[in-house]
Amino acid sequence: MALSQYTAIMLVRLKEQLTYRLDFIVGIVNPFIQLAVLWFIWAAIYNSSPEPIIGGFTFTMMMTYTAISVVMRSFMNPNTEYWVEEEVKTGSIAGALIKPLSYPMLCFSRDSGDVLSWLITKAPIILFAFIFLGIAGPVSLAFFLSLFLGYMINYTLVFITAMWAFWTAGYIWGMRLSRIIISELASGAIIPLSFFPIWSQNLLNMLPFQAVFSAPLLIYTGTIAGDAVLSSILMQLAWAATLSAIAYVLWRISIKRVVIQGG
Amino acid sequence: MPENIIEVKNVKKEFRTLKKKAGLKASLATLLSRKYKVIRALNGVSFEIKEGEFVGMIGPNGAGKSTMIKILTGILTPSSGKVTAMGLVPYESRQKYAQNVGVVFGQRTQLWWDLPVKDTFDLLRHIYSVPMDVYKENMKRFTEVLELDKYLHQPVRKLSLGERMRCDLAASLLHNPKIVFLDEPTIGLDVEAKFRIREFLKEQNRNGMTIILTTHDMGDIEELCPRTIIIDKGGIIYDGLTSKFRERVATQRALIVDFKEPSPKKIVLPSGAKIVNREGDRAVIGINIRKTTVAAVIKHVLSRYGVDDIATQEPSIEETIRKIYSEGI
Amino acid sequence: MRVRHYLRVYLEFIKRNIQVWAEGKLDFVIGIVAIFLTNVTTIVFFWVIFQHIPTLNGWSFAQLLFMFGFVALTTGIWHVFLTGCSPWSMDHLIRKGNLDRYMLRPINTLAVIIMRNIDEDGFGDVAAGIMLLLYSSSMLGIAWTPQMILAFALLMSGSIMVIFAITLFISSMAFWVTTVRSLMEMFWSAIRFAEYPMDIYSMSLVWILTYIFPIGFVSFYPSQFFFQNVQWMPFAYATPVVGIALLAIAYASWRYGLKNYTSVGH
Repeated sequence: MALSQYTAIMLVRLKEQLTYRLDFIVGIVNPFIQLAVLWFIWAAIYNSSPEPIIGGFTFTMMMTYTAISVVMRSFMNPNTEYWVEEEVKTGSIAGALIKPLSYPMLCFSRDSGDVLSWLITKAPIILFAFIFLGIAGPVSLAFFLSLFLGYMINYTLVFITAMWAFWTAGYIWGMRLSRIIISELASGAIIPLSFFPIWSQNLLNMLPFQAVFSAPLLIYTGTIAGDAVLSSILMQLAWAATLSAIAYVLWRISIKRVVIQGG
Repeated sequence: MPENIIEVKNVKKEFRTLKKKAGLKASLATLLSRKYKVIRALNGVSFEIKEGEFVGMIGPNGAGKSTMIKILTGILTPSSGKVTAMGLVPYESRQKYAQNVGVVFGQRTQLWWDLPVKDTFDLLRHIYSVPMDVYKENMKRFTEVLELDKYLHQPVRKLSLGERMRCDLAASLLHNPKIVFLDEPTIGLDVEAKFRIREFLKEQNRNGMTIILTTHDMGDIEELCPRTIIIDKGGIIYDGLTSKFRERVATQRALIVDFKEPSPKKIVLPSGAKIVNREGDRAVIGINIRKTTVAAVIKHVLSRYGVDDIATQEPSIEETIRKIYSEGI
Repeated sequence: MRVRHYLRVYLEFIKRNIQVWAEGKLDFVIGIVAIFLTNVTTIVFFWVIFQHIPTLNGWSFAQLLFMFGFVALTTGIWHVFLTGCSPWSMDHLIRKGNLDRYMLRPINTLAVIIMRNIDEDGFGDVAAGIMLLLYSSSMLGIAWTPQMILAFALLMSGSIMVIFAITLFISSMAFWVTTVRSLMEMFWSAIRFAEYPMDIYSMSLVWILTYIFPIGFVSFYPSQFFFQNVQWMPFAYATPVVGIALLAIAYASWRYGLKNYTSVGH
């Protein structure tokens, strides 16, 4: 019974997304614009480099890395922070909490609706274009598993940030921006971590952010193989589990605040 | 003999909107192609308003009333026809026209949310270039009549609806506009606030201000507007004395009765009353108060049937208009 | 005469905005700091890259910082003063029906929409921009004489006008399209092209960024004046002219949209 309710929420969200034709077109064009900028930058970088291999990447590998990263960023954009912020500010959170659904699951279903809409409408076109551009690559089961785990880890990070809304009467804009800034740098989405000075690499590898982008990307580009893939996935699992636990605990504490302050 | 301050000649307005359908398949289809339909919001409306009049403009939602107001305030341009007010064409000389027009939207405020009321007034003084002496005099008058002293220095977000409404009213009149458009100014207000605002408006009108009032509150119309214009389905279906129109409304009252279970199969009523609607235990009884009184009907019902609850209701403007449309004035 | 009136009104709006900031205290600071930090990602990117290469296509680290600082300052000023009419604002105004209120004032609608909103967050970009420009210009040995400052002001104005014109044009789309947010997102993606030296792009792209979507004039061309690069000087001088021309087109689009505005709902 509960499953069909969540599915219903997901489908409504999907429908909402389909209403806007312009959004649809832009959603497809946007990743290509981002990719174009990065392509020129990396081409210039590699042209200016005395070595053909930088940070362990050739130019072709770098472009594959970048292309897949752009695609990932295009659907790993949970809106949960916005929704929670809005609901706390307007007080409609009370209404959401009364419903016989788990609020975290409600949030997750909404975002899943976004991802589903993306998969149905934009993914085919983007992937087709990529193949056309010659950016195919070793797509393995391990990659998809890693990608899925990366998405879940990212989602828990977003959810944890969203929980702040309960403590700051909805003003999580600063927190959200901070999360995004750190993510951009530390996750390997823009530059592979191997480019960073060694001392900072060790630090970054201890954070969960690299488990979101860097981990699946390194598998895709074949930078890590064999046993290394296995340990990477185990690392992701560990992060996913830890962060989910933290998110859950934070959720239970935060919801008490709502009750205390009165709906 | 006062001049016409507003002249509306054969105004028509058409809109183009998207045809929308429900369902997932339809949403996908929308992505590929779009179908439009044309809506005739106004179908050749004409009227004149003299300076100093207090006119009520009513009509069901979506019937063209708001479109007419927007054309009169200069926001919309008619598809055809002409409007002149104070010697200007509102939608062509919008800024110049705005200098002498005041507008109050009942459901939205023009006051800055986080700041004390006085600060918005000050800002408006500058925007409308109100001379200091005029400003001071108006502030004095408004503060007195609307009792704004307590609120002037409070941030707008802390005010109740009634308090905010009074401030919004004062704000729109600071620059001594010749024509004022009021949209639902008493919505959601308690009896006291309504009274105060109505008195204030009457005084402004006595001083020569032309006021056009749109509302769903018949009490506003009855109290304030000697003349009523009713707009429905894009045209004027009544333009004349409110008193004549009032007779129509005043003859109908509704009584909502919740019967005790088991509710009676047949309900006998005195002459002048009839069942308008029946749903389970609830019946709506229409009463023509020329023929009988509400009290008589209540007595009649209570003496014959077991009753849980009784409530009286004035007919809505929508219903009245529907009646006028079908039966004529 | 009217100009004085508008300036007077603007002053009042500025006073009101400052009042609101004073109330928001912590929000005020957080906003500025957060926006300031968004610039850090690009700076770190440059820094990391330059650990591996000596120059980028012949451009030094300092020159890249200068160009980036230029964009940051332009965007910052736009962010502070001109977001009243940004596509997001327009979306909001039109959908909530609040545009009507501003149309009923005895002053130019676009002007009042812009004047009512001064977004203090933009100060973060302004601060980052100024810091980057000062730092990089000292590394490049650029002396800030009065003439240089005047030239800077002129070029920066042109650059701001380009950004303003493009965003105003997108905003005017809000009159016809249900939502312009996505267009704005695309714009912000495309702006990245303006942060880098144009000679890393293909010939056709350079042409597009100069004549069709002229964001080359946002940072690259004006910066050439300060690098004293002879080959691009004509483009540098053209910056203010391009800005004015674009603004004229954008304003015409705005006027057209406003004239045909069909305000929805109550």
